[in-house]
Amino acid sequence: MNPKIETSAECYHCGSPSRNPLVFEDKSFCCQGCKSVYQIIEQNNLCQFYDLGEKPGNTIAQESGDTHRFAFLKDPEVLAQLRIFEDDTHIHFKYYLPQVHCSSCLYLLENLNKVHPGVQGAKLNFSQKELQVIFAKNETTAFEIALTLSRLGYEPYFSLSDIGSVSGIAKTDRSRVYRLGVAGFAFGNIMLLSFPEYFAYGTDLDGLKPYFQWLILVLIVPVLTYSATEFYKLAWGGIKERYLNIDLPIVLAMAITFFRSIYEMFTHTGPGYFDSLSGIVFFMLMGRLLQDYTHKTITFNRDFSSYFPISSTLFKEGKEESISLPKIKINDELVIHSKEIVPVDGLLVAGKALIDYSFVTGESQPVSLDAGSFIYAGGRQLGASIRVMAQKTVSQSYLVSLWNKNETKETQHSRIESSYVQKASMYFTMAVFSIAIAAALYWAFYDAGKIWNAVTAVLIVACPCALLLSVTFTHGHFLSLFAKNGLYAKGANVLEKLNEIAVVVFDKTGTLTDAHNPQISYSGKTLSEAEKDAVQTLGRESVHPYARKLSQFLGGYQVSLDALENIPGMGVKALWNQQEIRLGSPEFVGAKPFLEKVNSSQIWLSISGDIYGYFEFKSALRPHLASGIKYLSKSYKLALLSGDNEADKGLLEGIMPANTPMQFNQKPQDKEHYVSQWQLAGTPVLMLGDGLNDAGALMSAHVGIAVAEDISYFTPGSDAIIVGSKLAFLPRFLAMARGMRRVIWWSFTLSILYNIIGVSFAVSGNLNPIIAAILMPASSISIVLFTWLGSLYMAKKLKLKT
Amino acid sequence: MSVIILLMIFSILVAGIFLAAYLWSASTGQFEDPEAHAYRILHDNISPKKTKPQTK
Repeated sequence: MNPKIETSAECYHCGSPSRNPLVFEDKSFCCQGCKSVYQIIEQNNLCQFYDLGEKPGNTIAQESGDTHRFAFLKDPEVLAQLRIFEDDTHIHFKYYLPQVHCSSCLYLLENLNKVHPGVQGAKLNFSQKELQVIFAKNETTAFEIALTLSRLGYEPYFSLSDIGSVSGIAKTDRSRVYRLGVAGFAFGNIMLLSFPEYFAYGTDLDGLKPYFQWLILVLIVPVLTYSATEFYKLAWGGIKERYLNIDLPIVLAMAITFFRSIYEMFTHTGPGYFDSLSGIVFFMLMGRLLQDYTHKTITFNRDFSSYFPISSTLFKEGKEESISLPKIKINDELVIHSKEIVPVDGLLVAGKALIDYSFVTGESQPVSLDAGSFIYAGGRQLGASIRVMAQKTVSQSYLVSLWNKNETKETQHSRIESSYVQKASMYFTMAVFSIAIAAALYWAFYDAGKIWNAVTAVLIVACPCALLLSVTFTHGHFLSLFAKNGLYAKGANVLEKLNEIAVVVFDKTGTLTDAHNPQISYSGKTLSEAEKDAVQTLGRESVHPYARKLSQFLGGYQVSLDALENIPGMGVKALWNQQEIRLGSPEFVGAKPFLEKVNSSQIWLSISGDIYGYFEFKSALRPHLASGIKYLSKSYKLALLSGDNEADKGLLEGIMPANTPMQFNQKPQDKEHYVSQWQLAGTPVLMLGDGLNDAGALMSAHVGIAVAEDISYFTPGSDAIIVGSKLAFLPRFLAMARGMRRVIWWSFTLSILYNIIGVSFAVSGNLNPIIAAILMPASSISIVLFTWLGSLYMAKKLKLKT
Repeated sequence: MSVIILLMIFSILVAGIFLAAYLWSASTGQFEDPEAHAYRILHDNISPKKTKPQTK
């Protein structure tokens, strides 16, 4: 072996270690990709990039050179659906860049105009990881910019859901921000303008009062006609759907307050309650906005379309051309390149397929298929390019039909919003009306002139807005607390429903076990450090997910390999210092004779024909699960469903309490059936699963939580997503959900207390506007504060992040 | 006492300016990405003025 000068160094661009770094201008780089990014950055005087963050670059994947990934950006029809804005000379285009992670990224991307001629400006939305680019039509194209971005290490991601849904959300969100501003402006000014009425009675200001009142009237108009419009819409929606929501009594109270105030103003009997009116609108809008913002940070890819690519490649008359997914017809021949997703159910026509179905079936082992086999949509091709003949269109494929089946249920689910809030507001409304009627009857006997006064005062004071405030603010706080700790709920009603469950059903693969971090053990000849480096470099180049896990597990440095070849279904081989090194199945390395039993979770290694040994992959349980499950079993029934065989039964019995029902070899339908049987028996189920194979079960469960490593995963049918490593926190999350209910009840009590004080003034027929003016903001602010402190206290008590 | 009327008009005017500032900042999307602005001020020669978000 040649003695080599070992100059290990960290890559100047991305920070990955490298034993034989490429040196350029005294700086070392791990690969050609990183070096060329550095050159681009350096040539354009953007080296500040490297000062802002510690090794900020993204590792550049091995030079792929394939441009067909973005071929759809050349299609004017697709382009028209993706762009945000277009005029005669410019196009505004948005790229989603998942790799954005630090302030250096922001710096580099916003200077895109220096790197890519034709780009006029770029603005990054850091939280959304979206880069909005404006470019001159005649100088460059969206396709070329996409290539530049991926060359810089920020590969844009497009999905089918991008088509036709351009930034509709941002617009509606903003209108609520405007409405809040207008309401706040009116509230503050009306309050100040009301002061003379309250405190300067009988002074020489009396003569000016009409001016103040007219000004107040002018200010209240935009509050009622603009800020409060969404409450009218919701109330009207409730009437149309024939159910009493909380908005209806609120609108009623607002109307009564308004008309009574107008009446008082024109009859000169009092100043009216305009300050309280604008105040409640302001506080309620604030609560809703808080909920909005928490929802925005929790983005749900609820649709299969966000998982599917925008286009595929059509093979027609010997040529490849880009075709958008909805246009694929039956019997079209498609080319699926390496690492692409098969978009439709189809027959494999040419090539050897190695399909990773982990999203569809949850099975982490890729399946190898020969020509003539049927491939389901949703699988990812790991090997070389294949050709598939479409047997169904996208919308009829198995995966999509599974999703669509779920969707009908979805709408039913979301309709029933936290039922007890509904109930509370109904009781509240009934109580208010009975008090009003009682007051009316009382005054009818003693002083008929006071009936009108007393009844309207009761309805004004006892506005259920305090209830709404407690609910929206508590929900908002808890949703964000849950999210901070790794549980992302679709809505507050999901947290509500967590209180009702009795059974917890777990899926095995990917839920209890961590499919992404299997336990790896090696048996065989001892490997030298250099050999380890070679194995890990080879593993990195493999298409097989296990081999890549292996290289993560081994770590170490990159070495250079020649004549690298991936053989689908077999393994990967390459030349390393003139020795052939093979990694793959026992047949591939020639180990068949030594093998006692064939086990697919082994990767064998041979160097120069010499069989070294094998790496064995065992599913590993997530850490700290045992204590969490033990704690859960005290209050809940547990069950386990697994799509796999019983191989891991022993492992599971170790952490599950004795006589926990465990079912193995369960198909997706079996799981769904199992869960719905519990549900039918009136036992609400909490289902924890991952991927599409659990979608049915997640959907039929009372609460379905998808377990994912990354919250941008595709998780159909779930009500919430839990980060895999936080699964052990489940008992705390359940306790937290109970805590949320408690905080809401406490703040209900508080608001009812305020109401009793107000109503006791009101029934006597002389509700002083000052009392209303003090009571209203005081109660609103104290409830807002209380819900905030209450939620913090609950989180602290359970030792969760705040 | 009529000076009060003048003051009143003036105070509403000032509040109106703040409301306008708020609406402007909301319409230019300044509340939508709290993180980016914090990073952006660290950079020397970045001028995000060039791109006004256009939602159409």
